Amino acid sequence: MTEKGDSWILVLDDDPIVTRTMQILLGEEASLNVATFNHPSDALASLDDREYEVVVSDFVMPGMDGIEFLKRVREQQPSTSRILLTGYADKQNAIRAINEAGLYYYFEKPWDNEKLVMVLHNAVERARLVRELDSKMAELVHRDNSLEELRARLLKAIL
Amino acid sequence: MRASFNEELLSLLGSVVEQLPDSVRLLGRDGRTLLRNDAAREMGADGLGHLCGGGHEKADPSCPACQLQVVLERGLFLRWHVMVDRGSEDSDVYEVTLSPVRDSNGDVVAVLEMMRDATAVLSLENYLISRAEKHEAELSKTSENAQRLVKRAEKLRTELGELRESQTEMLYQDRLEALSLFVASVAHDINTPLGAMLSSADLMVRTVPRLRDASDGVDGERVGEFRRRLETLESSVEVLADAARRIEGILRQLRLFSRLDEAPFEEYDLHQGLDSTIELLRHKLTDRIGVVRNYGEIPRVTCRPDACNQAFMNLLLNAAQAIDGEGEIRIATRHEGNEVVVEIGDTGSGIPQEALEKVFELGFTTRGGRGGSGIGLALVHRIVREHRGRVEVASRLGRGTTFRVRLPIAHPADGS
Repeated sequence: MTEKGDSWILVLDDDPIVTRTMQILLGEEASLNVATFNHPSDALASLDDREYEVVVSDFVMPGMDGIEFLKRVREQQPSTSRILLTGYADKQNAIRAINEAGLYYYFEKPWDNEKLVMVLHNAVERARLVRELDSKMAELVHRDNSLEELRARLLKAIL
Repeated sequence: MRASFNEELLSLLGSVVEQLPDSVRLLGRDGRTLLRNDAAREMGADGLGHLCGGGHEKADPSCPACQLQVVLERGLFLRWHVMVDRGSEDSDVYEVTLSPVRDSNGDVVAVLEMMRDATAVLSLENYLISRAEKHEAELSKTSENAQRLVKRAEKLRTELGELRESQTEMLYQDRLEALSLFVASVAHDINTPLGAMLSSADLMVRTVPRLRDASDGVDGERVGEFRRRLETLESSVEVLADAARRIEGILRQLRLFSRLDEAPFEEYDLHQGLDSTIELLRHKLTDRIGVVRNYGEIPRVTCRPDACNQAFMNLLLNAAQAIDGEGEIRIATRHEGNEVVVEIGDTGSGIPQEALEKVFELGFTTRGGRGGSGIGLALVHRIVREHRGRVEVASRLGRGTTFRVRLPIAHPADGS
């Protein structure tokens, strides 16, 4: 299980009753740091301050819908696992969300705590693995570059 | 005075007779003309003489039995028609009247002959007859028309009935549409707070044993009180969680009620649906309720399987809830024409007659305060109607209730 303190989850829902519930639930059950927002703009602003492993968003909100919001999240933090939590059981929107926002999971309200926590843990794990992969890739590219440089210097020295 | 009055009257009568346009003759017993008026003179004795053998005194070939003699001997009044050929295309018809003239002893002493041109009368008669015939023909034609009209009226009446029915159906669909939208929006509005409630209640249920564990090994005089209050909390939280879950169940039905048309139609074995539904309900039926299956040979039905199973589920739940103590649920299926009939009966308490008409109305329940939401049977009705089927209910108090669902075998979109 991930250690609390280094994994962050963002929950966005225009209804405070949901964000409050999530705050308590995830703080207690998921050992995750939880940041909750009731306005999409506030949530977007917080993306500049912190890297999130998981972003959970409501679907219907004033100003911006959940799919649009998650698309913005993908642009800013591509490795984040994106989850839609919706009160509308609407297959078409689910498919749209999966295609457009590269959804990791789709939840319908009311949700099941146990399943939610499990999915969130998996989502955190996925994000961390993706990031690890990214950093390994970056390291590889860096080493490749250093190697190339070394080879060039070696060639120069020999010739 | 009297004599002069009689003379005057006679001369008046004579002049009246004289002026008559019809020929009038008084004939003696010997057949000779005693008196004649102007018209008779005009026609000429010869002109008419041949008709009756010179003024009835002789036998005439066209008059085998001289009518004059009949009148003289038997005192009868006679009338007939003769046709006088004028030699041209049209012929005249005369009406001849012979009437006996009696003396004071009652003996026939003379015969009064009157001849009247009846051509006009006859042609009028003919005209009237032909008109009557024409009318008769028209009348029969009219009666034919009337029959046709009656048939058309009947057809129109049937069509009107069908129209009214489809109008009622449309009104029902409109109302259903509005109701569905309303239900969907209410369900959505309830969803969010319910989600929070379910989640929080669940978390509380999980937290209580953790609190108990945390108090383990703690000594002190107030630990007992703490444990007792924890038990109160635990019970209340469980009630809260149960209540929230029940709302969730009602909400699920409501959402299904408003979203029926999303699922696709497919060919489905209703027996499979019934069996799996019974299996799902096994824990609710327990040992107190036996399930008797009387399945007939039925074809696969083109339907929305989930919706049909939901309908069976609600009917079975309803049946189970109608049974206090031990009882039986009887399920029968059969194939009837282009329909499959599914009967779900129970040996429960039955439904009062006045409630029977309302059982399919949304919000109607006889289990007020005992978990009846009034959605279950309304949803059954909705689902069956969506399939262009029918659902009927028959019940006897104290004996039980049977719901009969009729589903068309073919897709409802075909042939509608």
